[in-house]
Amino acid sequence: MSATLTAGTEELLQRIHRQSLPGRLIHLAHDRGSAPALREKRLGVWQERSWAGYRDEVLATAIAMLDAGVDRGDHVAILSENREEWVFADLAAQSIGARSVGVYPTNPEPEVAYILSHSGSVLVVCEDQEQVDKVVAIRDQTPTVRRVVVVDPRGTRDYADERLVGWQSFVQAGRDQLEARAAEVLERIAALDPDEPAMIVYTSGTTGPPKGAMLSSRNVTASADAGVAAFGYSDREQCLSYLPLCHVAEKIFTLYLPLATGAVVHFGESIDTVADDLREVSPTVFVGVPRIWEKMHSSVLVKMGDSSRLKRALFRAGQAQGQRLSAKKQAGKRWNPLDHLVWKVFDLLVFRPLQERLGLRRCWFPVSGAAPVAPELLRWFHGIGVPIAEGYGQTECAGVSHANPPDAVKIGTVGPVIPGVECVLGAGDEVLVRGPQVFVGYLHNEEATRETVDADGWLHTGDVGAVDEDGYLSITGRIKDIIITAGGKNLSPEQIENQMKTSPYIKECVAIGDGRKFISALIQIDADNVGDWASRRGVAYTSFQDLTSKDEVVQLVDTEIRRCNEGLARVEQVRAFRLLPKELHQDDEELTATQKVRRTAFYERYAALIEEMY
Amino acid sequence: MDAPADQRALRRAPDRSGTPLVRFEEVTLTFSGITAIDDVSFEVYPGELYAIIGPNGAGKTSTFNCISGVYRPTRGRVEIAGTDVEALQPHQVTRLGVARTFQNVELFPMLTTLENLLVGRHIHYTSKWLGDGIFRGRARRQEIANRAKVEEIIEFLNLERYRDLPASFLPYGVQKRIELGRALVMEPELLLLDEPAAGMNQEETEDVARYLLDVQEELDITQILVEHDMGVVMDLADRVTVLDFGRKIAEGDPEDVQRDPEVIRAYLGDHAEVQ
Repeated sequence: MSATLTAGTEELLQRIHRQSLPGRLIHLAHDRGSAPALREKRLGVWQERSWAGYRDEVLATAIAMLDAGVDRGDHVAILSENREEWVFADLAAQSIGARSVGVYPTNPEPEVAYILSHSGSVLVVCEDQEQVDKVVAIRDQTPTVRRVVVVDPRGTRDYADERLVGWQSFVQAGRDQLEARAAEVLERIAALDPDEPAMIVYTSGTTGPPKGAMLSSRNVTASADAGVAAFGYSDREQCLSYLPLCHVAEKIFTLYLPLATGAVVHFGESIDTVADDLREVSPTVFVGVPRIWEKMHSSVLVKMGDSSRLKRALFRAGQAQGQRLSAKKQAGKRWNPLDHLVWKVFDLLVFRPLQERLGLRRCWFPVSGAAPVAPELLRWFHGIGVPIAEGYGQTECAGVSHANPPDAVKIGTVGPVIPGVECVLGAGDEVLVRGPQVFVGYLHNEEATRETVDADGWLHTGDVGAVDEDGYLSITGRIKDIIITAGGKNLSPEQIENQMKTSPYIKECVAIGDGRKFISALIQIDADNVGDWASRRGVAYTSFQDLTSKDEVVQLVDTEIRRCNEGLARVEQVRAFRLLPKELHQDDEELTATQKVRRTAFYERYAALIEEMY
Repeated sequence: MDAPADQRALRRAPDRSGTPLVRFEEVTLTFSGITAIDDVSFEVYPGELYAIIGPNGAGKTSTFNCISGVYRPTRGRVEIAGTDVEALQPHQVTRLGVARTFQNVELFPMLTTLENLLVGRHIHYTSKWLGDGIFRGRARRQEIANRAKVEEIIEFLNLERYRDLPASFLPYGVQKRIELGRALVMEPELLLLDEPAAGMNQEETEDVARYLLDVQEELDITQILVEHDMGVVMDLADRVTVLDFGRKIAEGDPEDVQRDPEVIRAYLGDHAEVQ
């Protein structure tokens, strides 16, 4: 295949511009050929795919999609966890001029039905039987879907739905025509308009139904180029793709950035094996959402509780010194020789083994994004030599507008604007952003688009922020979530909640206090860690609900809240709490697909529990 | 069990026109005067998911043990793929392509998931001690092939995250799945499952049901399943035999058997009203 591409297509290659992701892939494959582009762990072994192989699969998939009647402006939905086929399908759709639509594999049927019918998707790529069952069940509501391609057809062989086809046979038809029709797809890639929508990213929608943000090729390439320029992201980076690819954060790290430089992307075995995969890959850049960092933090704390007294003492000393030294560095003060020596010693004894265990030893750019993270958690990670840089951006500006540079992180801020982006504070200190990253608009929703982007091109983020003297932005909360207490204080519930979630025993926290005399909270305990704690103390329990009703557990959470309160201003401190009798779940419409609490639904459902506290 | 049950109607019925894989002919088994199995006959065809159900002590596990060669029938005959198992030892029955799982988990507690599964490949090792010692030639090729098969089953049963953890550290439901995996890596033609859902919660039971359907559809393995939980069987099995006090009281597809007055009586007692 590579031969045919270089022979008569040199001229064609010249015409393919680098303002689209498929265009970048074609150029990278041409320049890098057999160098590794993707690795996927299959049957326990990491399998490598070259840039040329990557391109060929995308072209073959595109040919197959053309044969299935997919055309420019159509929508191709993908319901799968992260795997090679996800990016093949995405880039193939874009190559044709169609748009990819990522759907969370955890979405229940009604939400899948909404997205498929709202986007009018014509082809759906399903990972396995679980996803196929949903798409088959909602057939009546999604008349536009003509083809359902199943990556792992296990268990669906005898399904009567004639739209189903296995991924292998679907793409094989494209591979067989690769020689003959590659040029056809390449012509389409060359003809791509950078300002046309290339993908739809549905926002999770903590209020109302999800909205489909249309991102153009220019949006996403501009976002990647700014990241490369600002942080020195090179072609030698290694990363692990594990957050949902329907979210823009993982799209940046799996698609935009690697296709900007030629870095290698790894796909692990499954969502359950992230910790092991991370250790094996040891990526150089890693993006985590706060929940991931919270989980790592609590797993270390719990393991430490089980270790010897010596180790615990060393760990505590290392933490103290590490936090002191990283704070000193951030304050802009130079380390003296003793500081260097202390760091070196603890690096050897504590930090290095810990980082290796977490899989972050080689990681020079650990990023936190997608939701606000507690400063205390970041300080803890900085204190073990993992200098997490918080970033910020909307889906509507291709995922990122601000980020802390890795060598000048300021904890508690989301960093300065990235190159090419302008940012000002508007009415009520709302953060407004402008630049080539700002999206095309919401799919089939002109009105919402007008409300979000004003006539001058400013994107209204809905977040309240403040900018310091160095141009670092800090976000204080969502405009619509701001709590105004009976005493007239404006507070951000997220800050309070994140502070509470630094406790390994608190998994979810919802702060309440709008129009009230004080702040209260509903707490969901972390079933694993509290369960572990209970069995260690010989507290017998049967179920989650039973666990939450134990006096000992209530006492434990009370102590934890008191401790967490110390990091908050007096008016922000949580004065009363109740434990939720069940775990919040997406299926019960309490959480979004990104595991954010749907506040309105939540307040209604737990109104009685809330009133009890006042 | 919603999804598998819904799809059930779409599945092909196994072909019962050929020769049966298992022939259980007028078998009687007595232990010092107690009759565990009383003149029971049935046939299981290739590709079938066949269930034997009945109240506790009905003779289900004894039937199993007759098939696997652990017990010798007092009277009657058991044939697997045309071979009379009468004269065979249990390990020789295994060579006929028969694998089984146990009612209680029987794993090596301190071996990892991977190692426990590799044990199941035992019958496929044919190398000699010298080759094994230097790990060259056939020994090496075999080790790689065996590992590959084990990895396939690890993927099939979604056991990736437990690969390197000792079996005894794992939840009960996972241990049962590993045991199923150990039977599957043997690449059997006939799989005997002794209460695969015993002691499991609702969710784990649904998982098991899904895996057993996958085993039937994707791996084409004939399965005989012993269960006392009617619910599990009704959604899964192609045909069911019901035993009561060692006697066969009904046989047929799950729907019919469920409505059989004899069966209802056996399960609910003599005074139950037949609806």
